[in-house]
Order: sequence, then C-alpha cells, then structure tokens
Amino acid sequence: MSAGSGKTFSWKHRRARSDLHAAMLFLMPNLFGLLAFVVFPVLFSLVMAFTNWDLTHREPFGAVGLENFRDILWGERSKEFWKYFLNTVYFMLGMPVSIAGSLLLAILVNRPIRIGKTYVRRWLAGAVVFLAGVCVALALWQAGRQGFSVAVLWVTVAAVLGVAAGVVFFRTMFYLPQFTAGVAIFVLWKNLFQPQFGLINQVLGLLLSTLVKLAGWVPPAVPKSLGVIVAAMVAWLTLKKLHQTISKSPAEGIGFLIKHLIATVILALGGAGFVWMCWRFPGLAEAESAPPAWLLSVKNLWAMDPEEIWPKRQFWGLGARDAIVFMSIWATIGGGNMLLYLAGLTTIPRELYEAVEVDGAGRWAKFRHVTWPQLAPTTFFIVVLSIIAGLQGGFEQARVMTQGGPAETTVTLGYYIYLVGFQEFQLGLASAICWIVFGIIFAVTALNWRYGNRYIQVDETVNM
Amino acid sequence: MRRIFWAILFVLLAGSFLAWRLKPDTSEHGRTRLVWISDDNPVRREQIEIFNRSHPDILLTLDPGNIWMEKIIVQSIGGVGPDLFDAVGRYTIYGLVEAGVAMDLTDLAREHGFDLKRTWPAIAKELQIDGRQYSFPCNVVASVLFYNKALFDEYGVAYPPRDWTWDEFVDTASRLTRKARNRSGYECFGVAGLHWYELVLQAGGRMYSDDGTRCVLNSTKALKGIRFYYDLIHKYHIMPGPDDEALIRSEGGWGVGFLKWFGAGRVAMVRSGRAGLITLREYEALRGKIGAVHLPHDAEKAGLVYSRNCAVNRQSTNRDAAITFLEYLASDAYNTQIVRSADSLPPIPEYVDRDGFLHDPAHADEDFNDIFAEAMRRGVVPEISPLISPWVANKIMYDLIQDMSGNLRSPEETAEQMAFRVNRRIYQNLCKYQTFRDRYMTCTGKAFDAGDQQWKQYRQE
Repeated sequence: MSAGSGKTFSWKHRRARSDLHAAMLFLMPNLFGLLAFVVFPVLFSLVMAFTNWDLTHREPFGAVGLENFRDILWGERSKEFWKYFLNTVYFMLGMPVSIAGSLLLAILVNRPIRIGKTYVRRWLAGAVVFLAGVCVALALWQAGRQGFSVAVLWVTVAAVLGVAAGVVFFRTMFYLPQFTAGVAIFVLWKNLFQPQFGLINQVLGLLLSTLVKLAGWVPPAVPKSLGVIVAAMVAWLTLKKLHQTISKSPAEGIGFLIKHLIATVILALGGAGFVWMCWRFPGLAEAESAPPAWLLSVKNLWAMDPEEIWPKRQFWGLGARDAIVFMSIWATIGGGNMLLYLAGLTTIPRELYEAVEVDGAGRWAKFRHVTWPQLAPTTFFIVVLSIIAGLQGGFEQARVMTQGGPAETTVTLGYYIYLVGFQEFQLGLASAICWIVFGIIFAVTALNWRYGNRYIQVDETVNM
Repeated sequence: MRRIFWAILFVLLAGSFLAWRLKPDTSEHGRTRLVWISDDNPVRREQIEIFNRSHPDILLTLDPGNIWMEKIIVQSIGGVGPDLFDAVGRYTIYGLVEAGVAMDLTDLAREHGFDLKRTWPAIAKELQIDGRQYSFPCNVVASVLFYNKALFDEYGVAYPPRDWTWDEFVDTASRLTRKARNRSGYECFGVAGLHWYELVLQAGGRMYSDDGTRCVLNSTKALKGIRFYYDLIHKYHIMPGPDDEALIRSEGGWGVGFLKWFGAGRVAMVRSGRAGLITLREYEALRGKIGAVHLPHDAEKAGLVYSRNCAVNRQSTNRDAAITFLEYLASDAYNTQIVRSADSLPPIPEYVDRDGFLHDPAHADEDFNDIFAEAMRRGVVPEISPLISPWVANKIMYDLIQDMSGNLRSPEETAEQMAFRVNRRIYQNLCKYQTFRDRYMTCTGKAFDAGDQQWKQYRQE
C-alpha cells in the first residue's frame, strides 16, 4: 500500500483497520497515563483557578469567578506578583550569554584537538604540561596557597586528560552539570558564594587587592590622559559612523538607519563609560575593592530597589540575583544547547565553507555568512525553549539557596506559586497564578513564532 | 499484531497479579503497622524499641523523611498520610488542625489518661485550640545558655551567674569574642543562636495586642528587643551574622548548626534546649566542661517554651494503635527514657523533680539540670492571632529579621514593616473571609468595619 505500488491506501481496508486497532491498543496504556497524570490535573487546576480552594478551610469551598485573577493582576497581590515577574525576567538576563557560550563551546568541541603531528609528540606535550602543572602546584603549596595549588592541579589533570582523550573529554566535562542533581549543584554554589570563605571571593579578593595596589602605583594623570585620548577617538569614530549612516540611509532605507544609529549610540555610551572609569580610576579602585556579598546582598546589575522595583544608584552592584544568573550560565552553557548546536554544525554543508574560502573569507566572515545563518533554525528553537524554561524556572534555586531572600529579590514566579500553594495553602489562588504564568509564556512564545520564525524563513530564502 | 498485544497484556496482568499476591502485609507477622513522622533524632530508635517491646501487637516505624508540614497535609489529604505525626510548637499544630488532618483527641485523652492536665501548664495552653485537644507532647523545650568552661578559663573570664542582665551578658560575650588572626572574620564568637522574639519578650514587648487583633511589634519595648538583636551582630559583633550562618545552613540533618560550632570551640555560649546535650555529649573535649545558665534578661525574665507534640491522622485506619502510642507518651517508661537520654524535658512535669533527672549518675558532671525545669516554669509560649495564619505571620517576620541580620534594614524599619505587613494581611483576611470577621467579633465584641480609620493605611494604594 505504499505510494509506489500503484494501490491507494484506505482505512476502509480490513488490514489497515486491524493495524489501527492494534496500534490504539498498544498506545492506550500511555494515553491513559497521559490523561490521568497530565491532562486531568491541568484541566483540574484550570477549574480550581476559579475557586477559593484553601486547605485551611477559611471559607466554605465555592466558585469565585475571576476574583483570583483580579487579585493577582491588579488587586491586593498585584504588587508582589509583578515584582516577582521582574525577578524572573532578571534571571533570564544570562540567557544571551549562555546561548552564545553554548555556540562557542559547540564550535570549539566540533573540531578535533591536534597537538603535534605524531602520537609521541602528543604524549610528550601532555607530559610537559603535567610536569609544569605539578611544579606550579607545589610552589603554591609551599607558599601557603593550598586552595590555589589544588585548583592548579585540577586544571593540569584536565589538560592532560584532554591531550589523552581529545575533544571527547571536553565534551563530557562541559556536559557534566547536566548529570549532577540540581540540589547538589545549588548547595555547592551556595558554599562557593559564601562571602568570607567561598572560593569565588577568595580569588576575587586577591584580584581586587592586587588591582587596588596597582591603582595606587599608577599616577592619576595616566588614566586621566588615557581617558582624554579615548574620548577624542570615540568622538571621532562616532561622528564618522553617524556621517556614514546618514549619507547612505536614503539609499539603504530606514532599517539600515535604525540599525546603525543603535550601533552608534552603543559605541558612544560604551566609550563614555570607559572614559568615566578612567577619570575616576583611583577613587573607583579603592571604593570597589571589597568582594561582593553575593547571596546576602540586594545589589544587582539593574540597580533595582528590592521594595520598589525602580533603579536606584545605591543598589548597583553584584548581589544574590546576579549570583544566580552566573550560576545558571555555568549550568546551561555546556548542556543541551551545546548538543543542539553540535548537531546543527554537523548538518552545515561543507561546500558552503569551500565556496566562501574561494572568495577569501576569513574565520569571522565564515561564521557570519555561513555558520550563523545556517544555525538560525537551531538558534530559534533554543531561544524559544530557553524563554519558556526561564519563565518557569527559579524554584529550586530559591528553595535551596536563598529561600527567596534577601528581601524577596530571588522570589521567582515558580517559587511564588509554591509559597501561595504550600505555605499559605491557597491552592485556588496558586492555580490562578499558574494559569497567568502559562498565559505569559504562551504570549511570548506566540510572539517568537510570529517574528522570530519570519526571520528564519527570510534567511532560508536568502540562502537558497 | 493484535495477538502480540494480547500476549503482552496477559504477561503484564499475570505479573501484576503476582506482585499483588507477594506484597508484604501491612500487619507484619500479625502486628499492626503504625507509621510515625518524626525527626531523625538518634534517641528516637530507643523510644520506638521500648514501645514495640511493650506492645507486641503493634509495630511502630519511623518516617523521618516527610516532617514538613506541607508534606503531612498534602499526603494526608491525598489519603497516603501517616498514622502519627509530630508538630513542633503552636504554629504547626494550629496549621494541621486548620487543614483538618489532626484528629480531635479531647474525649479519648481523658479516657486514656493523656489529657492536657497531665502536662506543663504553658504547654497545655499551647496545645489547646478552641478548647479542644489535638495532640500530646512528646517532649517540651525550654532554652538555656550552655557555656564552654574551657573557653572561659582560656580567656580568663569568670563563669556567668545563673541569672544575669543584658549588660552583664554583653560584657562577658565581648570578652570571649576573638577575631581571626590570618583572615577576615572571627575565630570565636561570644554567643550564638539567640532568638529575636525572646529578646522582645525580655524587653517587655509583645507580638500581638491583648485581644490578638493587631501586631504590635513596633511598640517601644518590642523595638528595644529587636534593636538589641541587631546590635549583638552589628554593633557588639558577638553573635554570628547571616554570612556565618550561611556556612552552617548548607549542612543538613539533625543536631547540626551552632551546636557543632560550640562543640568545635568556635562559640563560647549557645542557646539550646536540653536536647542539645545529645550532640554535645559526643564531644570528648567537652566532658565536664559544659555549664548552663538562664538566658539574660532585661525588664522580664522571659524565654520561649514549646513542645514537640504528636497528633493522630484523622484518616488513620489504625486509630486504636495510634491512641495506644499517645498513652505511651504519658507513661513512666517513656518519660524515664526522656530523662535518661536528655531528649529535652519529659511531657509530665513531675519527672523533672525526681533525683534521676536532677542528678543523673551516668552524667554526673551535668549538675545544672534544675535550670531547665526553672526555665520551663517561667517560660511563655509564642503568641498567635486568630486573624492570621501563624506560619504566614511567621514567614513575614522571619524574612524581615533575616534582612535586618544582613544589615539590609534598620531595626526601626524592621519593626515597622513587621507590624505593617502582618496588620495588612489581617486587614485583607478580614475583608475577604467571614470566618475571620466572626473571630474579630469574638475578640473585640464589635463588628469589623473596613472603612474605619485604623485600617486606612492598609488599604491598597
């Protein structure tokens, strides 16, 4: 009954019906499970979202219409809901870094490691690295820096194993966080972020104190002069770019104008920031020489006031939110996204690279004109899934590491649902929050499909 | 294809039938299996063994993995809850009763001899909910300050008096606090584990008004206690702050935390109940070197007391066996075991007046046992308000105290925010639920008026 046999497939045929019945019988246990453990609870929670279901029986059970949704979106719970929504969005700040990092790692592990032309040379290189690492570790141990000594030993072992096992070792190492239980990772990072004894602040403290010493040696006139020179260069570059943009824009169109104006503004702002730092360098080095308090601090890169969600200067810095963002980047950078990109890289036709090589393209041009466009569908898929995961996530980190603190800066929507459902036992309200979060995720995903998908189709059309 | 399906289905059904037939019987060798959710205290096993030996028709087993209140409630409502579960303090038993999972034991308790008249008066007050009894204490806790005599001798500080004031305490603790030599932080803290609410009580403050309808933690006296807690960490630097606590909290299990620091000589004094001795007795270096005194006081000699109490699941199918266990909690065998094992204080007060408690020959160096009974008799149970769930109020206060401990808020702001947020939640409960309005009427004798001026500041902006 295949298309090539000349006969038409039809469900009316007895054999086809028999096969269908058999297929349904095999699928039924799974379908029952799906209905019982997925579909039914989802529908049940939808119904409960419109009730006052409360495990502490404050009121007789009954329907309350849209009251739960009203309370959360603009009523008595709205302030905390939107605050926790912003917290959730904040934790997604690391997403672009994580995705870019996954792509970079995938590109790196996509090629074999070639150290030396022969087997003997490779092992010789490994032995040299091993000896050098052991010597450095011993020296550090003698100098009383046992922690750093152990760290150098680990790096040495990793390097030697990389030489021995090649890129397979690094692929395994990068994927390792995925094998590890989440709670174990969070407990580990909680200790790493400990302000006094944590490894991160031990290293940061050493770096910052070195920088402060260096800042003390540098005469103030040096950074200020550097600032003046950089300011002049940035001003010249900015004006040049602006001139190019405006002169070309009638021909190239409004899109070109907007894109290059944005680039100009970023260049100007970045340059101004660098100049400001140079000018303030001596005072800045002294003021910012203490390592951050991480999980105990409400400071953050957005300078968000924990109470009012508005940016305020005194809250600028690195705190609990950023600690969780950094940890999430580490956890996701070598995970499923890297594997997806690896798979995507293997599907890029070799001929495309050969074609641009003929035109004299370098590595960056190859990436920009071949690799990146060809990976557009993979990137789109990763972005969509990452946004969904980001909006749903944050529960484990809050529960294990911070209990939502300090000052509720790490309470995400996922953790809020838990607090309302299992600390206040208001399951009707918690169900309503779940459905609102679903609505937000659905809307964002729909927007992604509408506009991101169009970009991929345009790219595919261009590349055809 | 269909034949294959039916063959597989037959095999699976046969396997399921076999598994059902081979399933272990809940009544092990004819014994009724009782599941008790409690903590993983090492002495729990001995307590269970004594019960099982004296009741050959019952097999009591411990489940230490589900001790969280939300787990107990959800499991019980789902029909897979335990027969017996522990509740620590007033807040937890209140929540379990409100959720409808704890059985009303009032009549059975009178009949079987474990009514609340048999236990400590303060605990009887703690466990009575609307005049009914829902649990019986497994043990009762009154906190004292254990001090390390070796550290006092090393630093040349005189041992503390049995009763002392805040000023004397700060002076002593300051002389025991030592900064670390080659790194930031402290090598030894003067004290650890003090509770902010006890300091409020010691300053003469209260959590709620007399009628329980408003939170008054922003009163002058309450603020004094809160400020003293803050000063212990940030002004006198004699108590560890959240960054030090964070180091300890990543450890899990029973009996960890500041007791281990005390055992390691990193804290000279630690607030704990008598159960702390279970952990401290493991330290050879502390043999004969532990002393105990009352918590320091200000205007009031106050300390918190509470119980770990055991309730019966309303849906338990082994009700009679569960009641037998509660009888056991009031028995001589159990109370004697509590006295011997130092698992806090026995639920029956008369056991602390016996010689076996005051002078335990197995631990002759522990010559301070009378202080626990004294602390128990002068202690007070935590306050609750009928207009807000205790654990909701507790979470609000805990989060704010944590922020204050981390120097993110001043004591004044903390006290104001605690009162404001709790009262706002009370206001919201009153607006939303008739049950709370009825309770308000009972407490104040008048109807709740949402438009009243006293509630103006809690209305949503």
